[in-house]
Amino acid sequence: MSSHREAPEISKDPVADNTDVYAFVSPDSPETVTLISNFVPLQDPPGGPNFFEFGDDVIYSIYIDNDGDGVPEISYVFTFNTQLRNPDTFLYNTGPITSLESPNWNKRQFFSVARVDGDDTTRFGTSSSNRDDAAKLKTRLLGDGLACPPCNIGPRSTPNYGALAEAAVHNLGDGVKVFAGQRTDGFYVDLGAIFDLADLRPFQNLHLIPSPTAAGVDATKTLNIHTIALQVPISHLTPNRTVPKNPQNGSAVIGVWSAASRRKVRMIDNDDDGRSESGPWVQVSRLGNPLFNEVVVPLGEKDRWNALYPAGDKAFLKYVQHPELSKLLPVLYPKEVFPHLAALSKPRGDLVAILLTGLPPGVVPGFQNYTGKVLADQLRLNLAIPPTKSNPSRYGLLGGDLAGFPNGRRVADDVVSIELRAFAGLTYALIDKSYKPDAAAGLLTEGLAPAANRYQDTFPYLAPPLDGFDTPSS
Amino acid sequence: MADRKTGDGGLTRLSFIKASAGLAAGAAAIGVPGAAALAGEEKGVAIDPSSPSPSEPVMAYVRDAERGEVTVMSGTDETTYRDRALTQRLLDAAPQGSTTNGGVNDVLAP
Repeated sequence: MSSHREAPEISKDPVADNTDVYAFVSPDSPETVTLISNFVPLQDPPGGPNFFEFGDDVIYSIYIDNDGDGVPEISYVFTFNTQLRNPDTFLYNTGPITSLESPNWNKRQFFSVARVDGDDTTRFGTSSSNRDDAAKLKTRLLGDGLACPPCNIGPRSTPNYGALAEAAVHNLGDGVKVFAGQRTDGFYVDLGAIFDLADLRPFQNLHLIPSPTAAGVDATKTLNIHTIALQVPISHLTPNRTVPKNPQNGSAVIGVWSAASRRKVRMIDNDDDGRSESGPWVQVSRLGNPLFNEVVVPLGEKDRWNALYPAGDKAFLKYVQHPELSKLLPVLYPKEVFPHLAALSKPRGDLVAILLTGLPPGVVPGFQNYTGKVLADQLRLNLAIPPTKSNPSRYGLLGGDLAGFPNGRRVADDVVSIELRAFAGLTYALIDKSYKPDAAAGLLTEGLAPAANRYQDTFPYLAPPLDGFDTPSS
Repeated sequence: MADRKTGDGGLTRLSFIKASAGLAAGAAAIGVPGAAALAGEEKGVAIDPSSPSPSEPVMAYVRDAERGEVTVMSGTDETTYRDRALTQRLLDAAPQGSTTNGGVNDVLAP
């Protein structure tokens, strides 16, 4: 999946598992950018009695690089605090939860958000050790004690869930909005097929192990996620608080990624049922482009990738230039489905541009999201490109929609199909006009269209979570 | 005298957010006997713990026994020292014949 359980270690730590990152100019508020980072994958809505929550022992960060150096100039840092009203009941709630202050809500979670200006990665772990740099950071608390909504339990416990969730959208002043809590997972994928030897059900008659064609199966359509969503004025993210107007201007592009960090040591003491922590914060999960760690980085490197910062992604260049998936496709779909891809042995400069540097000017008419030569996995968003309000293409840039992935990422973008087509060679023609993509490359799809009820038109754009009483429906 | 090798700093989660002086300093202030006081003791005495674990314990582990390197964590600070005497005392204090986990020695004797 995009980054759900994508690496061995983080698959055992869902609370810190960063599953998707989105960054887009807000369609209903185009003077702002919305940044979304999701955690706690594959939530089955009825998952009580200990319903899903963020980790009080995790720091969640959303990073902004606005000068192309691969390290953040701005970080938004989120921490959580869980409060238990009554430890003598097994219940999450002892009656209907009708407001965020309801005395029936037993286990509540609150959060803080701070903005840090400077390279905030100096605070975490041992990869960066410059105390002087850390001392130069400027930290500003934007909000404290902000309520998360409860999980959506069912009609008896959370009877008016929409109002509860709406009340948990906090206006922090200065044009900043924030939300943290459960939502419907917006990421759609035919998980069962894709990891069954890269089967694509609409094309499985052409697979090495064939079967009749079929429509795709949306494996995440009844699952929830935990979302951190932040909406900020564009000027808050740019150097000198400018609002870029010219898409061709290099300073119009920001890089965005997210991460989760834990303390280096945790001690479990059975004598007093205590949990103790010590040591520096260590990054355990990160995410920029969807599927990067999932399908580009090999199994033996995935945990290391999660611990590194984007500025170190040069170490993974070879996996982007010669991706395993691009080699597999002609093998798994033989009989001349991908003859041109099979013959393509040159480094995939197109994928390097999409994933590690951004697309330079002149590659796609009217578009660029190039941040320079530093190789770093980030979502790159051109802030001067307005949102597409009428019929946005879920194929993003490949569908002729300059406001969609890989120009940042919107919640409904079909990133699996976009990346499948790119890995199949469709985008190689952008940098080598002599290359003729295979016809199949432009057709690849999982055969899925996301249900409209996964999204909403307003912040935080992912729909309220599915409730545990009605989901699954049978 | 301990030979300081590397250092990494930061603040605790709480102090990080509230931008106040944090537990890093507090942890350092936990009542750990000074080196001078320890110097007079021949060997540690095994006891039952007399109090619950602190929430932010000072932790040390032998990083490289041959080189005499010990890493000490206090709050969100982590410092590695070259200190052969401290390394040896930790190794002497390690339970002998302890089982290993996953084919490697435990945290006190990698």
